[in-house]
Amino acid sequence: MIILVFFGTIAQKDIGLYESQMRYFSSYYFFIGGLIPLPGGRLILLIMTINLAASLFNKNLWKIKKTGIIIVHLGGLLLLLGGGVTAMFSSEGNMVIAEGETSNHVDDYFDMELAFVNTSRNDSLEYTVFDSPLLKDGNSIEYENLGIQIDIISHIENVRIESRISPAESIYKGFLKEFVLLPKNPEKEATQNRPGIVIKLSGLSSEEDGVYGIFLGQRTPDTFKINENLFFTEFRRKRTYLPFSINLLDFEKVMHPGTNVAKSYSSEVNLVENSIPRRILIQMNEPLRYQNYTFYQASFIDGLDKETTVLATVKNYGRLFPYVSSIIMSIGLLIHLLMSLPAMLKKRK
Amino acid sequence: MFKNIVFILFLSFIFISCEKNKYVRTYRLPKKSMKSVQPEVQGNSEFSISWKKPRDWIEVEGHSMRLASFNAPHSKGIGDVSITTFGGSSGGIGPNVNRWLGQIGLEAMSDSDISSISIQKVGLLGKYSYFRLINNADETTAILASIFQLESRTVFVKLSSTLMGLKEIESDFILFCNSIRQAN
Repeated sequence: MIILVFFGTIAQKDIGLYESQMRYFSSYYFFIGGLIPLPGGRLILLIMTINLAASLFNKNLWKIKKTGIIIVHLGGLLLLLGGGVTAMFSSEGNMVIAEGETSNHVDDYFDMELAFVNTSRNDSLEYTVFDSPLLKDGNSIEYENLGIQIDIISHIENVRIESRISPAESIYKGFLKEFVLLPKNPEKEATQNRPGIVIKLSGLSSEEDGVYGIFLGQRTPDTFKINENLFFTEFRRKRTYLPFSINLLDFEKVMHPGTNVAKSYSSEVNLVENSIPRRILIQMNEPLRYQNYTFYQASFIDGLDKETTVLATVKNYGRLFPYVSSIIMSIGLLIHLLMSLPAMLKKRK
Repeated sequence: MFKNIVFILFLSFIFISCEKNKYVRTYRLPKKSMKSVQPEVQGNSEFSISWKKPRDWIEVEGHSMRLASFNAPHSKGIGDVSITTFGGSSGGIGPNVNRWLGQIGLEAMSDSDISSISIQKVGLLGKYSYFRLINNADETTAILASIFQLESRTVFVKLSSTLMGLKEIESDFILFCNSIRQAN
């Protein structure tokens, strides 16, 4: 564990926080210098959990005088299980809301999704969203509901956009008729990357079947028709919709005098659920906690006429595990101390 | 024993099969403004054009000579996009490009030099000449311009911005120019 923390901490300098976390702590194994395999954070914690659970089967442990130790073990086990729940089921992202606007979705920091949006309905947009596990190079998705086939030609972690220097072949459609998406070295902070994807669409029409390029933040989406319905595509951060919405009433920031460094900033919001608004102030170190979600005041964007708040959003089912397990372990230690006290006092006498 | 293994494999197969659908979701959301994917139409009775603007461009009131004006945001400010149209050749390509070169502090060029820096592109309105006018000594203003020379009319589409902003907006600008089409 010490070795892991050492390598993970050193690596942050070169590869950034997210990549380091993924490589050393959220992995089952990693290689030092590309040669020597070492267990990653998940494997170590898994072994520790099995070891701790197995120790509970030790017959010598199940004695009245070891009640405190048993409780401490159970508390430790609960802590590790909580870590597992957090690792498997928690999600992190951010919610970006401009003043006066309302949002009900969180954008994941890292996971991407490909959305096909049907604009032909009168009152609504119909989204068909493909998650990142399907968007791997070479993968082919036959989606019968739309009657199309999507071949993933390349999923690029960070793209740079270059104008074509010669006319594109007829297979390239929309944006790719004028530009090419080329891979670029990933940024140190993964959130700074601009991911892109090149896909081949079949089943539209002979004119529209072809290769399309889509990237994060594309402002002019390519459009095409599927069964006479007008669609456009979006390659965006994975979106999670919330059962409530947040309306930003006012964003305030206080700067350190004479600098551009923010001293404090806060968002006055309406949390709207079932059309009932509730006014809340979110500020640094005072997050909003609601329905397993925690909204932290993380950043802001200065706009031309209004400001935009950025709320870091964490959903963590395992949030209470550390608190509960710490209490259990404390109780266990206390019981163990109290039960050992007579013997200790007797020894001293 | 063999039966158990087959049963486990069968269950695994079922769960693996279910996995794929887990990664596809469909849902509907109420429609807001769909201006970014639906063409907007501007013009008069004799000539009107439509276009598909990037979703974060904001149409603003412009000069009376302009058919349309947009604020095109980039990470450090906004670029100014304009569409103007005039009957006939409107002086031709050379004088207009030289006027823009003057606006960014560059010397006028000869017709042959101008044609050498022009890039020929094809949009829905037809062929057009595309110019990337940059003064490396002054990065505060740079210009992208497209000139559509139609039969009886010329359409100018121009973006003025800082050099950095221009680089950010260029792909949107070209797609915008490509999307312009005659509406009547």
